[in-house]
Amino acid sequence: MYLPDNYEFFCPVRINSGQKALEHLPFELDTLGSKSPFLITTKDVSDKGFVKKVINAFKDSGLSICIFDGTPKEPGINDIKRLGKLFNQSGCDAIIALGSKTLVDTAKVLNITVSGDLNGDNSINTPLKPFIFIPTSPGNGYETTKYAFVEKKVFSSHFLMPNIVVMDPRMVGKEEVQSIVSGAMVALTQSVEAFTGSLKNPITDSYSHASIKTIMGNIIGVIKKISHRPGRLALVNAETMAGCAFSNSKPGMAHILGKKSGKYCDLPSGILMGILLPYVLAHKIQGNGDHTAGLLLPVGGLDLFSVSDESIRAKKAINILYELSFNICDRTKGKVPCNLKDCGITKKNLMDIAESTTDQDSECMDYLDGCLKVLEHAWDGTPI
Amino acid sequence: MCLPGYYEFCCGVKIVAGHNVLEDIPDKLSGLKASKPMIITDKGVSGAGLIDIVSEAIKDGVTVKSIEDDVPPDSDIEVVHRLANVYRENECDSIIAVGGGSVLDTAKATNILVSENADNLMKFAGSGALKHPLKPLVAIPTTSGTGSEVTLVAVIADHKRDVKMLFPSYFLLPDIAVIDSRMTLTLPPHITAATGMDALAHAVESYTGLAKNPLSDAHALAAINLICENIVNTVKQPENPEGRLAIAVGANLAGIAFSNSMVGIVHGIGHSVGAICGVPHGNCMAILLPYGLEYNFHKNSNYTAELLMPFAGTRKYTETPKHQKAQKVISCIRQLNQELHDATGGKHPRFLSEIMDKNGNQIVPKNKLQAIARMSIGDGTLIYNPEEATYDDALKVLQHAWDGTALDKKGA
Repeated sequence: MYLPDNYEFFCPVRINSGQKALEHLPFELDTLGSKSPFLITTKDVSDKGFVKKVINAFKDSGLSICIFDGTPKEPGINDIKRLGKLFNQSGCDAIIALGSKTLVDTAKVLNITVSGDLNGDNSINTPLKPFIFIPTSPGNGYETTKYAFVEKKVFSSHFLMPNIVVMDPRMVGKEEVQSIVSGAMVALTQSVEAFTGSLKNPITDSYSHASIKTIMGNIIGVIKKISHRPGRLALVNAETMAGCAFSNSKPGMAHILGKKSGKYCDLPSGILMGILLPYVLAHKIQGNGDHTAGLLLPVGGLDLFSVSDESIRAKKAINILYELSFNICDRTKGKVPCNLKDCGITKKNLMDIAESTTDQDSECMDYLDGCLKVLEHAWDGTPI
Repeated sequence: MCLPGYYEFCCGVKIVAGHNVLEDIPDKLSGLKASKPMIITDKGVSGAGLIDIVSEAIKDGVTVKSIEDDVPPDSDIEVVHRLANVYRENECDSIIAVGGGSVLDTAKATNILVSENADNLMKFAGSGALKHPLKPLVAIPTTSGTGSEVTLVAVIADHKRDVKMLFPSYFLLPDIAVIDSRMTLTLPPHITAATGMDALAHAVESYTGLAKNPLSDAHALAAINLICENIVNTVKQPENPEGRLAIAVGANLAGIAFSNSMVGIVHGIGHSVGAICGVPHGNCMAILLPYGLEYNFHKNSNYTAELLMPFAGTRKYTETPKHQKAQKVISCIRQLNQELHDATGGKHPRFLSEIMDKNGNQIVPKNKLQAIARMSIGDGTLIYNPEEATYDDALKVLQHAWDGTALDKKGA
């Protein structure tokens, strides 16, 4: 088993998942020293009845909870500062983010505002106020990570990560299939690239392994039957696990190309990452396939892994990922395409996408040729 | 693939692992606004020169205010009280614990007193007693190992009242765990074997127990892989730092696993063997592990079967028919004990009647088994065991573990 000569790992996130996880909230807040949490969410989350469910979990607790459900979708720093004033005026001492995607970025930056100085150099070196995240839908892959994005600024610190992620089956809403697949594919990309990347260590591998296995074991089932709550809960779990691995790794080629490609079409970037992932892996093993071989275990399962000779494990894992992409496309009747062309990206866009990645701080950012090769194959769907 | 109905998972400790990572400690402590640590250790560790290595590695970045090496093999409440006073007298601002489970537990308990500004540890026994983060604590394990550097429990003995007290709290988790291969390089082969098997038992019980979850499973599998690949070779070639690091990391991963999914009957009975007969914990785990799996066979053999690949390799896994895989894992563990027995010149015992003291006397006489069985069924770890255990069940397991005969799985 691969072991680097030295590594560091830190993930302060506590995961509480399953039946009645919400009802643990008052106790968990008490362990974090909080008596007066500030819950932020959006109108659509509130309209779906999720806020009511949280309030019910608190009704016998003796705690007071302040609720703000008017969070804009893309708030600016000044919006967040105003929220900070509201937080302070209400005498609150913890933040609960109920929702996903940019709502969580807002909560993280709000936490910086109410815990210290937002106008500084963006470095955060001390613990912030207690922060609990309750996902209500698939995310964008950054919710449980150490990153927050507001107004094109990037904040990065382990202190931004939620203290606790509460995943309750009652809170994971039914979303339409593109959103579900996008969330799962961001997680798959993060996990796979952490597992095969140069910063891998046994603990990132453990989080990645668990995430990949959970996605592979649930994604098709959820697509077939979106009402299947345990499956949706499992995918949200996988996203959390992937975020933990990602925070101890670096974005890989599929992640970066997927994000960049997202600017050239209307689909969420997770779908693009999912399309690109097997092409990126196929390109990388032409150089060094060691870590990709180990991927067959979480991707294909124990029985397949054990009968496959080491020399073909990497290719088998990649083939499974190609097939997954085609399978998802079939089952969603093309709503989730399996090549970049069907996403609406033109061949001309490919060079722009490749060129825009060369200044990224990331793993294995190949020469321009490598990116272009991956993009071209992913564009028309011909495996490398 | 289903998730458990409900589960929790957390490892909030920063893990730093490698061949020369002690040198990172001053920087990490500085991040926690600390620079005046007290070192807590024991005579065995200091006698092996490990404190010299740690002191040398950190001397330019921190001021070590005191080195206390009087922690007994079985952590003691009076020592904890004394250490808290030393901490205050020297105006320390952090603790570095260098040692095995007893040292790490002692350091955690000392941290309670100095952080809460209290004199009496008894006030904090049981859950929920701690409400705030404690002072910075760096844990450097020197065995591989108990996994105490990532557990949220401290076990402290009160020898006057002849009881052991449990202190469970997230706040007890060390801030940083430093796994440096230099810290186990001089660990004698028979202790390497025992502590390695302790770690293996953590991982196996975590994977096959009631509270397993996808994350604890992944950590447990990685732990089993590392330990199985390296334990015999490292016992035979103790000076190899790669092997040492691999087992130490395996023990760390196993600690993360079982800390989040608990253990079962192997620990339940093993604790009592240790308490009544003074057998080192790792030896108890090594001997009892195959019996625990046999006892639980009809409840969790499907999970045990999945462990055949890390234990025996892909070829053995594919060659072994499905209904024989779990039994094969149990055989592998017995075989591992045999190999370790051979590699340590007989010092690693394979069954309870084989354990001798320095004078060649049996440490676990047959007439003690009933008392051990009685104590076992009161052990809290049995709550998470897949199968219930009565006094008669525990006695039967002990009788077989005593003479080294396999347990009849049907009768278990």
